[in-house]
Amino acid sequence: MPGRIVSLFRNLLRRNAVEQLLDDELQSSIELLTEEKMNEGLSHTEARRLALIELGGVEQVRTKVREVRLGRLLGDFAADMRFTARQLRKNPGFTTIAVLSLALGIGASTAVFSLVNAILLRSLPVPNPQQLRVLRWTGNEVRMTSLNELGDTQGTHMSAHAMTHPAFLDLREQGATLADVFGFAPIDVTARVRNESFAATGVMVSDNFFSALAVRLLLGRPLNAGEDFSGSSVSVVISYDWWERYFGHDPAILGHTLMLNGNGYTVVGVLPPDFTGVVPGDPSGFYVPMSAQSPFLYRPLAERFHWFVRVMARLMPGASDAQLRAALDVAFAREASPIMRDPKILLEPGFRGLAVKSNNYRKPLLLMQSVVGLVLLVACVNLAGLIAARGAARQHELAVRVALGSGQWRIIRQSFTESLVLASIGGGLGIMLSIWGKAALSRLFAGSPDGLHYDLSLDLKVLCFGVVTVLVTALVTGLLPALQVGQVNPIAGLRSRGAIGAPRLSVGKALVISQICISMLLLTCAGLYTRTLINLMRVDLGFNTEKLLLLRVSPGGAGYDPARRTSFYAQVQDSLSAIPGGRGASFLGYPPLGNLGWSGGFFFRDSSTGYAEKMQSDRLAVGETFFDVMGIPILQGRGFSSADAKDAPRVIVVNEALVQQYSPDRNPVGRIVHILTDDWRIVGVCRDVKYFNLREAPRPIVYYPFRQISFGATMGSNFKTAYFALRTSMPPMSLLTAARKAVADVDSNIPIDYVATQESLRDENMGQERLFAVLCESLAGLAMLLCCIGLYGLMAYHVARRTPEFATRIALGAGRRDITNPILGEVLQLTAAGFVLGLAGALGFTRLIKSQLYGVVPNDPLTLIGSGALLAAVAVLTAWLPALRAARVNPIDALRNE
Amino acid sequence: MNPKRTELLRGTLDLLILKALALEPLHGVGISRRVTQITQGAFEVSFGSLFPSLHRMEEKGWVAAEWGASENNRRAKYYRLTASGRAQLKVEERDWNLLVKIMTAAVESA
Repeated sequence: MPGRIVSLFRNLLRRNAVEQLLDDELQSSIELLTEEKMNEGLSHTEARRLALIELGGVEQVRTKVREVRLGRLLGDFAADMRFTARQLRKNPGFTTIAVLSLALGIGASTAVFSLVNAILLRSLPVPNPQQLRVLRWTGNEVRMTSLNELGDTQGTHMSAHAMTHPAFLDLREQGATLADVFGFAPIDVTARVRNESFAATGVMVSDNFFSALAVRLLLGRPLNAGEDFSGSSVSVVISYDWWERYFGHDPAILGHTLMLNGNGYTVVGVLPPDFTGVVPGDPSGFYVPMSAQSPFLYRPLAERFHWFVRVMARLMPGASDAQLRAALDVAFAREASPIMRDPKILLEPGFRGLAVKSNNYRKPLLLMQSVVGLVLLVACVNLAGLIAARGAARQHELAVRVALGSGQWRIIRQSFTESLVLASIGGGLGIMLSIWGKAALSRLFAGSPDGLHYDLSLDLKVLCFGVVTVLVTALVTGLLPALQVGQVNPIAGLRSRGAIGAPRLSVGKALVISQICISMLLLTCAGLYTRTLINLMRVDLGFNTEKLLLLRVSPGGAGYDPARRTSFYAQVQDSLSAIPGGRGASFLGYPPLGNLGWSGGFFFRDSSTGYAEKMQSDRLAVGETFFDVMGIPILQGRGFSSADAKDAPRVIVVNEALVQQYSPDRNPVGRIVHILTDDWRIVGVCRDVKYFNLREAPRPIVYYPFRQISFGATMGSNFKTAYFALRTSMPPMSLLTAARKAVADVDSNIPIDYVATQESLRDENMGQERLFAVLCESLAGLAMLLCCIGLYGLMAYHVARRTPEFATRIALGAGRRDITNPILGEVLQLTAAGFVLGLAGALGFTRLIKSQLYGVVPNDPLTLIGSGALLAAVAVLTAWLPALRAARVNPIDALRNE
Repeated sequence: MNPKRTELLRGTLDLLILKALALEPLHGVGISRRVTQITQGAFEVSFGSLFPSLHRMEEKGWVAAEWGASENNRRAKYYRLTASGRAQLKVEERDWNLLVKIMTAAVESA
């Protein structure tokens, strides 16, 4: 073998040298021959003439030698390509189906992979990202007043990323010899640049944020060491996106002032274009120091109960995770042991940054990738079947080629060339499709027209994935036909001109069964997601969702301090309530079904437990009209009224779930509850509703009148923005203009910056379910279509092969049904086999998506049977045409051809 | 000496070339002459078949070639059998004998 490889290279690379050697050899042979003839007594001229004749022409010999050489492979490849191109042009229908199905399969796979790559694989654009770690803490029986994060709760265990600022400083000092520990906290502000105001997201960062990440700035400098404590720093580093969008690439940007929530900040640096922050999916526009005097803090930095700093670290070379963890555990235990048991620090890989959002996409993405892979597999299998069937019809041609001395390997190679060409064309189209498709997918995934805030650009990884997919596709598609072609029997093949000598396609059956199996799997998923969607649409939220308009206003960024916000909101509520055609309006701290909320601990004054006993509830600030406007019944006591004003005794309403969980034996009405720094009296109990999201079971909720909250006391009650619900007596959107005017009457500088109806919110809430339902339905549709093509091809082949048999039977008096029934029976058998296999697969596979279903079990019999029935119906319909053709065979014509 | 040109069956040529080289290394013309000699003049190998076969066998490693001087001191490319060439010769001889036996039996049975 090495010898052959050497000759291949010699032949390819040193073509001239090889030719030269051959020429030398032929010349020497001529001379030897001439000499021989001269020895017999001929003159030199005559001898040379005869020698040339005997050799048979130098050029002819040279060509013949060239042909046996290994370099010929390339020449053969070109010939195969030409043959394939001719073959494909001759069958435009077949070619179109093949290319399109592969293009869809490969395109879908590549598009999903671009998302997987961008969201799950891509590292932060910094040197040595593998050294980065994200810090996370866990603890048992956590009693916490204010956590600026949802966190993970399992039983009494809790885990989250946010820490207090003192804890962060302690960790940073403790780990200093092992890692550079840095902190940051996302903030939302109203920014003003060159007289343009807009809502913006940025980050407060510790002074070592940029140095630890090792980001190289495009312009200017990062924040200076110590700048976070100097207390008066007004430096800001802006993103490339901001520099482009708001400053038009102004090279003299440094020193420019921009306003953040009304505070002047001086631009000291601009980040490079690829750095979009350490929280993938949430682009940050600016970076300000986390300083003691920062206007973005709600509480002093040094306070130990405000958990809001996210912490990451860059491990120093030589330091291990275990060492760092041991060091940080000590520091964290010091800070956290007063409010939790078993405080621990966990180190997560940080090469992607703080990828909480990305991790939420992990499961759906991987699931989607495998589903798309399945569809591609169907496309391959299907094409393999089609090529095999066609190959069988080409038995005669192949037999001729074998009989004429064509090698088996040569024919197999030809067959692979065909699948490679199809896969390449399909793949090229598919990769183009994927560029369009990934944008659509990203929009579908994000549930908004902006799409995901990830960098989805085509990179080397995605391209490699595309190319590898094409090659694997070619291999899978070409393998079966190649094997079949390799077994051509020239004698049997030559005996007849038709497809009669063709072998029975037992592999073809296996292919159809596997396609039905995969289709079954996809159909089941589609069915389950569709039913989930329907169930979610039918969920009773517990409150009246018809004719409800939701509005948002954001006075917080427009100079309203917390104290003035209360009166502003009260005025807006009154103004909205007075709209003609409206039937009341209410303040809402958080929008219904918005997945946004604020929660925290409380305790009953009349028990001696204090915060020690963990009582947690969601907290919702509402207007006094809330229960009437939303249509939530009060079961016990009373709702709020206008008498519950700012200076009146503080009152709350709780829901049934809270009563059942925390006050099951005592009448809750009249009990005093301590929350944060105040006492509140329970005046009523309302019915449980699904306020925060569609799927949740009712959780304990405390409702407060917003007028009684001292705004700004904690981050959760800051209410820079607030929502209003407006109940209408006509289509809700028709009152929008009136609502805008009502708000403008209060303050014309503050617009309504977000509008929704209850229905649209509900739709948004079901975004992911809808995504999966749509995807699975379309993919299942595609798989079924492919399956039909495959089945049709197989049955058509079958019928063609058995035409003489049918002709004979019809000639002997068989009726139409005698011919069609066995064919349809066979199809049903295949379908049944595929169904059983698919059922087994579906029972296993659907368990994986259990968490995404709602109101339907993974092995829902109705869905399974429905999918099977649909498959059977489609299969029989598909087979009908070939069966009918078999029954209409004209015995005279058919038999005459024999 | 006027041997009739007989079309050689594919495969037979390989056997004849290997057989010709079994005794001693030969150049192309020498092989052609040796084949004519050992077939007692029945076959004359055309060079259009001989050279492709030789090159194919060289790539397969059955024969090796090197340049040397002919008996009259002319430069010529000499082919010699390699170890795997000898093994191949044995295989082809056995196959041939088998074929002859079968064919003979078949022809005589009629």
